[in-house]
Amino acid sequence: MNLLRKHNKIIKSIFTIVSSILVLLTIVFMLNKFSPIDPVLSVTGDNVSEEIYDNVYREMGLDKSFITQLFNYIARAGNFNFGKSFQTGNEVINDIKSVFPATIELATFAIVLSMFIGIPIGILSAYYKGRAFDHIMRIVTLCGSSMSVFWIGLLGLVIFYVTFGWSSGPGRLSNEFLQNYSDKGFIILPALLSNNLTLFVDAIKHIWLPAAVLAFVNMSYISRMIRSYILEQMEQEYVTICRAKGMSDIRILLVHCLPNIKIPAFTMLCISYAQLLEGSTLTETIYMWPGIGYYMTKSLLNNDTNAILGCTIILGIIFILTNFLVESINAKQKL
Amino acid sequence: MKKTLSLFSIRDLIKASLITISVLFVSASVAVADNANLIMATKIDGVMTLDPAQINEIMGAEYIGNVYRTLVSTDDSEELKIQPEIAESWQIVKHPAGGTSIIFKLKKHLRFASNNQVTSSDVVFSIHRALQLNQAAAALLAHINLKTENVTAINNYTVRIDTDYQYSPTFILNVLASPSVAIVDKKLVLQNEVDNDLGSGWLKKHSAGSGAFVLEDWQANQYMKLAKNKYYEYKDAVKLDSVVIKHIPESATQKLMISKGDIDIARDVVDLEQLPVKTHMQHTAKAEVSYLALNLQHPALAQEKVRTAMKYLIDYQEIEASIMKYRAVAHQSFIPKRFLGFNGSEPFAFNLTKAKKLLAEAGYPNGFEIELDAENIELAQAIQAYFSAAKIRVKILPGDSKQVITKYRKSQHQIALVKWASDYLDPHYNASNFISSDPSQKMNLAWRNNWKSQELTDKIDQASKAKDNFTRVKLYGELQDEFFKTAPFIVLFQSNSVSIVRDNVSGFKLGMLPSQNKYEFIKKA
Repeated sequence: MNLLRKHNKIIKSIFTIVSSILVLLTIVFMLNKFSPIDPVLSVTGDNVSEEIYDNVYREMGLDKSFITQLFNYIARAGNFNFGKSFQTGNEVINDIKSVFPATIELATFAIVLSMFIGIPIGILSAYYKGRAFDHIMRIVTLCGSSMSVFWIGLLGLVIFYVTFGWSSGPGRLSNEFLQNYSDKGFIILPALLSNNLTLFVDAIKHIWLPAAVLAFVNMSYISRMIRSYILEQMEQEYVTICRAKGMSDIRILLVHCLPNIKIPAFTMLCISYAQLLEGSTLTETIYMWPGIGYYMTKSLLNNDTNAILGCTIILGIIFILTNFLVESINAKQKL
Repeated sequence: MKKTLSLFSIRDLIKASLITISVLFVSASVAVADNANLIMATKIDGVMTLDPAQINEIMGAEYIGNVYRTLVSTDDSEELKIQPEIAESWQIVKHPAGGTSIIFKLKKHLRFASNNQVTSSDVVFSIHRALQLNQAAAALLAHINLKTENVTAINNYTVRIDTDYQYSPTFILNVLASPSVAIVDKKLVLQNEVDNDLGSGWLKKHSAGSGAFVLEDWQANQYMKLAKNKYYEYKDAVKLDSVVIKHIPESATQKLMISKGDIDIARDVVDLEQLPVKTHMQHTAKAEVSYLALNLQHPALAQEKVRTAMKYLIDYQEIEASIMKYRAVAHQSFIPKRFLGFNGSEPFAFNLTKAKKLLAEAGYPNGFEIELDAENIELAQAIQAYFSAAKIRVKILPGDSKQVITKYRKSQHQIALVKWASDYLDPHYNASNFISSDPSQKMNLAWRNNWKSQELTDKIDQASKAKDNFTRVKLYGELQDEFFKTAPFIVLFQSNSVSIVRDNVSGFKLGMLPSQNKYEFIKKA
């Protein structure tokens, strides 16, 4: 009985995931069809004859009915065959394989940085609530969440790249490494594992500044959320009892409050990471980071249906799986 | 027992962290550029193939100009004269059936980058291939009605090209000088042919040309690396070993990188007023015009007097000096400056009284409402302000360039602010697009604006078939006069190619077509 209940749960989860992706796919496909941009222009340009335009239109399958196009696409997408990108001419799956590692590296760096900075700031702001530290951090985090990423990114380049030279210029690697490594997907971890320290250092010098920019924005959110979770806990009855027993505030915070906020904090961090994995178009544009955010924006601007749907499915799956994972872990911890 | 993490040792981690920290905070970043290698920043995300027969965008055309050679090319002179390239000479001969025939004698010592000799079979193959693939290059060759049977090899170094109609030789040569008619290495391309694709799959990411450079690597949306072609005809004059073209889409980033010395040339800097130290600006007029397209389906725009009034409402010189400074020059003809037949007329200047009078005569003394689709919002706002002086109330519909073009191609606009670039340096290209109402030109600019004139279409045909340039110039002069009077177009500017170049870099040549932007003369001190 228990086994059946367990299986039921798995079947339900799979059904939820699959139906969510199908709905997502249909909505994106419909939005695409309403897009005011002609995808044929990416292939032909504006200066071609009607005959060539019509040939390309047919080759792209755009002469078929909306329903046929949608069903064809869903059928192919089921096999992870997203077709060819109109703007690059490559298989979309290969394009995603080449751009996604760049985003994963950047997002991972950014989330680690924002956690290491954001969580302590959040804890200290809660501990020093209403005091100078809390006020200063409020201003700093307000800047992070309200200032334009584009502006912060440029400012970062002016200070750390142009003025101090602490960071390398835009891009993932310096020119001497481009030819051999720019199409390799992941760079940092393989370089470290293969003891290629020159490459590793070069990649780190390129990634830290865009990651710091993303982390600054993300850190602001993380620290404010951590602060509010802790303050919420500090108002609970068990804290009053602990105080009555003579425990210090710092001990109450570290020993009792922190373990109690781990579920919402974990959920928030996972969702932040998933959001970072969607790519940050502005950061990727300023820092010439060949990631999925830039690729997807270019696809949208060219109405590259195959690429948009391919990216949507991959990112949708990541987001849905993250949610599913978080829910499962949280459910286990609650037990 | 040694305690390790699953992937790597703690010692490695500590080592890496220390190195990272020391690198980040102690060392300064070092500029890589040296005297034999040039680094250029621009946008290359439009490049989707490097096959010359299929390239349809600017950076692709520039790539062709530096990696491939054509039969003939246009020189730098004011008159844009045709000069030898792969062909050392050519001769116009009598066509048996009344068309035009040109016999090209090829240079005998030329080699491709593969060391294969350049022969007439390569020329014939390249043109046949372009026609068979039926992409951008074929669209261009259709202007002279070229078919595969029209291109034949007489011997190893002689090629004959016939056209069915008696086109003007200058016109034919200008089409053949277009980058789309690049000559590819037949042997190499066929060695890499897959499923009868004429090598297009392979050429997408490889080069097979005889130009100054060869393609060493291309990562879409990232960078392109060209290396010196050691078999190039003028190899001794080429000082650079390599040119790296990095995809840096953001203007501000390009500016920061050139100020730091990490790049030598920045191609898309928008803020041109304050240049970084040790840099200078280069700009050259290119074969591209910006214009307002007036759709004659709109009742007000259908009236010639309204269109003329609108032409008098714009202060072309003021916009050139303010919004378009360095980036464009005021220009009113559909034929760009330096093209054969450009007559230098600029009949319109801001004249509010005259414009108001014309509007009143047309029955619009209180103006009218109109929509303007535009990508360049700053320019659209200036137009809006000028038109408002005569009570023409413009509603700007901002959009991405492709969005504006999509609407424009379907003739769904009222007014569109758009650009038009010529693919070869002959007035016929723009004349057939702006004016012709020939059925073969369906979807051209005249069609999109619902403008038909059989008389002018006949004149274009006449001009393309005129035997001498004198007659052509005269006919294009007449076409321009009529264009100014009746056309539903207000040509505003001719665009400039603008680059910011480090002071130690010289010899970067910007031309009218992207394929004329040459790297082979660049020297770095």
